[in-house]
Amino acid sequence: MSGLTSDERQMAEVIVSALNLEHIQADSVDPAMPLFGQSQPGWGLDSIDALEIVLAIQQKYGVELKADDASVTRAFASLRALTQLVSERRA
Amino acid sequence: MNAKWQEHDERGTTLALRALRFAALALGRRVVRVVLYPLSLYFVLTSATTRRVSREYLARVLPHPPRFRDVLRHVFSFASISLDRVFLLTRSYPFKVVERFGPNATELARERGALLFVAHFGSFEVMRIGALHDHRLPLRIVLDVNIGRRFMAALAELNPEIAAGIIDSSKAGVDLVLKVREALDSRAVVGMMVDRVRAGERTVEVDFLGSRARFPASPWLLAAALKVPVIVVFGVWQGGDRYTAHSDILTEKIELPRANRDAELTRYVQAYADRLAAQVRRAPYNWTNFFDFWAQ
Repeated sequence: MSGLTSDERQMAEVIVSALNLEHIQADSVDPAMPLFGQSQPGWGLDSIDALEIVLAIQQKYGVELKADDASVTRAFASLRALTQLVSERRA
Repeated sequence: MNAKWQEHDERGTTLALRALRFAALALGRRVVRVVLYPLSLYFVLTSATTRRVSREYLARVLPHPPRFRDVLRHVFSFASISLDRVFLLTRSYPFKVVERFGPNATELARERGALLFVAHFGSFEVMRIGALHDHRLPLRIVLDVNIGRRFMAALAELNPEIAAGIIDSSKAGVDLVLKVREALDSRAVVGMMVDRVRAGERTVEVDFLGSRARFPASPWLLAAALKVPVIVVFGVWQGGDRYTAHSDILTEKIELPRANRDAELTRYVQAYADRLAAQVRRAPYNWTNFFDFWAQ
């Protein structure tokens, strides 16, 4: 069991397909693992990926993430935090 | 990882901008420039570090071994360029600026937005008074507000409008990407310094003026993320009150496929370093990185 909620799994799939990630299994990824930076274990994403994710979220969920928003910066820490923010913003 | 330029930058800013700007604006450029000679001499005589880094740098670009007067000239140029920035920012002196723009650079920036890549070389501020101004292309600068705190304070006094347009890069990451995107969406062009490495920052190593040097990776990642053209600009001081504003498209789009991102990144940065080196060799005294650039 991966401990992913269904929302988290869906978000992981959105990210994996938007970025063409081959090293991440969307259905078994650790939701608390850091998205950015070189630390292991981690997704190892960079700022190019950040913008792609923002665009993918906009397309998939209709949620627009903007600058100068501390909760957006925090949400990009992990899959779990990001999923949480997006579901809050959708509500 | 050191960040010695951070100390130097503040010192230079304090010395050349803060102490002189009141006198400069009150007395005018010609009068205040007289002060620059003794000031530069004093600075060269009292700062062993400045002498050393200037000499080491000049040895790379001059056709002869650098002498004391070359170092003095280098520091004088730095002081002069710094002082001119006061007049450029307050638009209080009619500089003679010759524009050498590559084909389509301004048109491309106007149509698609663009990132302007700048080095600590000459005075980028001259870009504001030519084509950008004529084409009503607002220019916003990405700057780490924490590092350039005193510069920011001076800028806020000299030109509040430009200061208000500064995009703070102290918190890199998603927020910066989004801010730059929003600026580009509002039809601004965005300039950023691409030669100095901040502590802990990802870097790319390339050949530059005879040996390996490291440049920050983030401007290139940003340009790739935003899918906008990269335009390289150089505002070169030609002596007296003459400047040349160079601007050229480096690439219309940066593509960094995940499979060989590092190799492609190095290719772009090397292309930039080559252009910078060509400019630097033509006008060596415009170089304003007074720290051991090759050790950063």
